[in-house]
Amino acid sequence: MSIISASNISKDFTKVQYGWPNFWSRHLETKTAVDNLSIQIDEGELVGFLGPNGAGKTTFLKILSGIIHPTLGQANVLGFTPWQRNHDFLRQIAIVMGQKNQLWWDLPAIDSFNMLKEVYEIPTRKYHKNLDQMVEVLNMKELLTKRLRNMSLGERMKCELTASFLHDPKIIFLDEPTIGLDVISAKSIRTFLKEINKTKKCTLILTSHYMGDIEELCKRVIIINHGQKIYDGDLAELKNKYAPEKEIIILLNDLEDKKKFAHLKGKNKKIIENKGIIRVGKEDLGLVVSEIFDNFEIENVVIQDIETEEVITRVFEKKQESSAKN
Amino acid sequence: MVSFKNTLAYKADFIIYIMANMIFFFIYFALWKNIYTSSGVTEISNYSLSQTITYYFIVALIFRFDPVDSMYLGNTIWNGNFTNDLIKPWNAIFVDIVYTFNELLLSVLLYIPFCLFIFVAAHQYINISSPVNLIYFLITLLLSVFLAMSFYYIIHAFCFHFGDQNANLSLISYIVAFLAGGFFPLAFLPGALKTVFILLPFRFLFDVPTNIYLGKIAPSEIFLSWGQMILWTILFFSIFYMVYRTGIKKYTGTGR
Amino acid sequence: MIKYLKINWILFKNAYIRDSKIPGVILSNVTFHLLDIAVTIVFFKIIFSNISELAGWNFYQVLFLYAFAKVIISINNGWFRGGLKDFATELIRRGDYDFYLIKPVDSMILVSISQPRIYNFIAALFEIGICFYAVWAGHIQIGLINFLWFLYLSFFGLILYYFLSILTIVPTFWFIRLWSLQDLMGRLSQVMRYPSGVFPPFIRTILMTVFPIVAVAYLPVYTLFYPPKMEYIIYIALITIVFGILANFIWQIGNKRYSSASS
Repeated sequence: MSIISASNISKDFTKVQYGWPNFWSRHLETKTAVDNLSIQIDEGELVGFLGPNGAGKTTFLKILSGIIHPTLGQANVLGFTPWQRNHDFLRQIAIVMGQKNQLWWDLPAIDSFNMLKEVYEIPTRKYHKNLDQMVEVLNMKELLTKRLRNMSLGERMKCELTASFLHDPKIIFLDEPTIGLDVISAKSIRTFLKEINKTKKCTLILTSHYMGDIEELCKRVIIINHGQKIYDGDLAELKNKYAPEKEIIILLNDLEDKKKFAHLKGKNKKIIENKGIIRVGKEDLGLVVSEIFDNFEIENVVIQDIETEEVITRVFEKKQESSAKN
Repeated sequence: MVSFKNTLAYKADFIIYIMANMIFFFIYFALWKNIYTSSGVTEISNYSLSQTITYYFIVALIFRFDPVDSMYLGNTIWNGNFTNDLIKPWNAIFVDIVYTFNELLLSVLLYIPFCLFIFVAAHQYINISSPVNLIYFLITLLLSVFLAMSFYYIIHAFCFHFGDQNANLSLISYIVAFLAGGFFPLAFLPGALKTVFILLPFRFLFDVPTNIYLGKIAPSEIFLSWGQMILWTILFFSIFYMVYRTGIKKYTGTGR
Repeated sequence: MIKYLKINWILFKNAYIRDSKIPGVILSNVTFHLLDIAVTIVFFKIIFSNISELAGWNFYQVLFLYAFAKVIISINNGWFRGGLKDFATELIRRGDYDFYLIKPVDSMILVSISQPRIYNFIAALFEIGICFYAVWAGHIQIGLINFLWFLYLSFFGLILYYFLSILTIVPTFWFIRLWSLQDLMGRLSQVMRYPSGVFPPFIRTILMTVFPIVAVAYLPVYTLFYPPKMEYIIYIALITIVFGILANFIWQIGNKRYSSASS
């Protein structure tokens, strides 16, 4: 059964512009951030929202979490209409925004957590159990007594995640949670999220521009552009549909290798520095690979899928083309 | 132009700010009217009721020329943005002065409708100055702006040495407004206290210009006042320059 | 209710720790309060050097009224002003109000109590001291019944002032940044320091009903000095409830209108 169900959600932002030099003239400027979006998400799913800047991902997340009202449409999250902000509903959700802090800037982390304990009315035993678990998993014991303003971005994000999970929410909305983090911090957060999704069965809705987050965490992705849904399904299927070919990278040590590479069969070939790159459809893969292994050392060959970023770009370009034709 | 647009980005905020300052006038208007009528006196320290009301009317206008909220030097030093001014091919202080004057001009322009409203509402009690006194008043007002700026620049320059001065600026500007006659005519003060206030240069910011408008100061005294204002301005600016020069050597350009 | 008190306690505790680490800020702010009091006392002395009574109140009664009004303002400022100022200047503008909306608590209360300022309470102690001085120096006789009604009306006055502050802040939902309304509140608070008889009847009516800022301090202090009037006792409770409902209602409308900000 769907834990999140949204149908025909639209959100317009209207701005009143007064004329210059005639101050009495005014016109309304309307921007549609979300346009007739419908989705269904089941309990325990880990769904990634993708789209370029200004696509409407965060706006949609804010509608589902009840922060803003939609212009049109209906939604049902955990049996509640989100924007009515029923306290029982709010106790079951959490939101983490990578570019903002919800914790009190001047308070040590533990005091913010203690306050959230009161806000969410978390029983003391449960609170300590969850807190101890988070502290262990995220390795943040020394951060508890540090004030938020004295923490690095990675440390702050760990505290934000801890704060979000203290009350065992059923749904967590994550808006670019790894933005600005170094590779190690981002990795530890992804590991944490995967673990939480597995052990606590909470539903995670994630927006991110980092393909690493999406590839590692999300089986299902929803792609949004100009407020509209352009894809909703499996990430693997998305790659199969829009980028069915494989990419073969060959390390070219010398001029001889480059000559051999030039004679290989295959239309999509290019050399970048000392790497030769061929893109081959799956039907021709066997033949091409066989020829490559005949000419090059096996340890100098890498066969991989097309990068997710490029797949997404193709999705947008295809959509733009079809919009232009219409 | 930038400061104009910046202020108008939040138009309602600014307009309500001006309206809030009108309340200052109407509170004192009600208070002094009650005092004069209930006591039956026609003059307090040579101020009739209409002169007292006019005093507050003019002071409310002069507050629009108070540069303390328009000067940003201290903030830019404290948050490190002063670096941007230093690396540009211009004089950072001169730019700050120009910026401050822009803000003051805008503040005054937006206040004019409210000024007219106050005048219409209380016109029976507001004296209109003679043209000559009006000219003297405007010149004195301009000099008072320079005097105030040169004084507050010293406090701003202390940012180099002692850090954020915002709290101190609020405190000092409040004291200055009191010493300058921003809350009541200095003539109302008892003898000994009045002497102290008259010795300080702050009376030139509110009390003196307002009394020039009211025609209470003879032309010879006006010219003497101008001389004193110029001397005080030079003194304050010299102190500021010394504090600034020593401070700029310590400046590290890091934000808070 | 207990939940909010517990949250409040945590915030107060940390505000105390934070403020005590920067004594300069406390000193500066308390000095400002004391200076304001000194300037106003000088001003009152000037007024009363020309008259013996102001709207029927003598110097010490007016001094008490002024000091009591300052106590109400200081308590409100210490408790709520920090949070409300943050709301008016930053929370809506930057979209940080999102996090207040997502919590299972009343967002209006959470915003209000989020940034207490301990130095205002220190200033309030001085102002209470001046109240006692005014009673002692003015030889003002106060009966027990008057005192009890005074406490009752003061309680409502304190809450009423809070709701009036909310009403000056709530337009931020529509205008994004509107700190000037808090400045307006500060200006209007100055009318609290004078007996209501100072103002012309029409203005007095507005300041007692439409925006009952005068009722906050004047009614309790009147009840302390003069025989209690039942209409004042009932009126202040009613007006506080009305403005509480109004403040809440407009806040909820503002919540519906809220459109967050770009992240």
